[in-house]
Amino acid sequence: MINLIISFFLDGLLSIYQKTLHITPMFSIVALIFLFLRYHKDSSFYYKACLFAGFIYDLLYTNTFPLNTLIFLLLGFIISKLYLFFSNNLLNGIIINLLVLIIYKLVTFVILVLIGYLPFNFVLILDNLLSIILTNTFFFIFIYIVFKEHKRKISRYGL
Amino acid sequence: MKLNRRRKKIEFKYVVLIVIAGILILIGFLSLSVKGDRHQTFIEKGIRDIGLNIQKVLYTPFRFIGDKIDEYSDMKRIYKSYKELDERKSKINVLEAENEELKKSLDELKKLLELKNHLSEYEKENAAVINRNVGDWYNTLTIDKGEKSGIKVGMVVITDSGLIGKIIKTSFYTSDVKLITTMDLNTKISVGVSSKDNTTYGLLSGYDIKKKELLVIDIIDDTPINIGDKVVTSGLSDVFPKGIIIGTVSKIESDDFATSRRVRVTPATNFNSLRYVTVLKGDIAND
Repeated sequence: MINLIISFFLDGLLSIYQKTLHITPMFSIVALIFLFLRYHKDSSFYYKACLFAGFIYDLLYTNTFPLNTLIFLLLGFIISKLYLFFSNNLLNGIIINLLVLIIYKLVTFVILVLIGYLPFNFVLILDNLLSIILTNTFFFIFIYIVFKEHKRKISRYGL
Repeated sequence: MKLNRRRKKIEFKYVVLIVIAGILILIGFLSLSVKGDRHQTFIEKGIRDIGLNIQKVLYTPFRFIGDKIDEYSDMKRIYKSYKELDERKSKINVLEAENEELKKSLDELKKLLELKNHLSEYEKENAAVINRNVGDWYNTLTIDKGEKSGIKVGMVVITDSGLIGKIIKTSFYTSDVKLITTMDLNTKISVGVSSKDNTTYGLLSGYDIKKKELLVIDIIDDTPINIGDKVVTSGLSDVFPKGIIIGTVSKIESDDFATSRRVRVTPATNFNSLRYVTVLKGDIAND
């Protein structure tokens, strides 16, 4: 849980410097993976935490309630399903992290295009994709190693 | 058996209908929420203020270091300017007297022409940026002044370099600013392109994310426009006062149907490093 809180505030703090440092932090989304590793046996708590994180993210950072509330819940569901196919190690974690970030970006883009907020232009997706991947993969590796997440065993039928 | 299958089919139809209706309602609600038309509830405002104020406290050491770095570079620049100004000191008294005279004349002319909606009419409120919207697409930022400081939705936000956007949401102690670099299809601002002798009008609409340029469309008259001409707010709408600089013309092109001209504008403000902004407090006209 501490991962999620730290990631959440880091998202806000670094958002001010994201243009000057050329980084795109989406650490709250990365933290959902660590939250799953920690609480995969208590799926009810995990989904509630995803929902709550999305709700606060909407209120504080994007002002788009309930867009991120629902997307965070969806991402939590996807993470739990992906871990049925992947075992818990660093490489698999990086792959899941990339998939989740790309899904987040795609789903948000599609919804914003559907409601007429954004023009239908794929350049918008590709614009900072590299920055998103690099920033958040680095963060994932850092947290994974520092918090020794590889020691957590995932029961594939735990949920 | 057949009856059962038919019943299941009917039920499935209803489920599909309910799902489609649900999706449509959700998209409608999201549309209302994302486009900034929805007012926040008291609880939302409260949660937002608590969260953002915690973040403001956490941000204080970073801001302090940033400010010290800025101060150091400013000191160097100020010393240079001081040397230059020292040489021009003798002219200041004459300029001050001239300035007073011009101010009086300007006030008289304004009264005579009943001119309103000028930058000088607005009270200014300085604020610090405490959060930049995480998603790149929304292009909003949060400042540390809200309703308690008299900030209202629709107020114009500038920096010392030029226009940056307008207030779209307020809570008690924070406000959200939508930047003019937004790709939101609904944002349009009436602007004037000023060359030496003439001003021609168009609509600021859109932002080229690749080239980092603003787009001014629907320029229908033939007034010559040159690269480097200044683009300023026209004051034709009630929201943006006249004369706030937006940027300079970097390219002139005709639109897709060759019926009007379109210019690309290099923004005067560096949107990558916004730390302090100014809100123009005045009567908000309904847009």
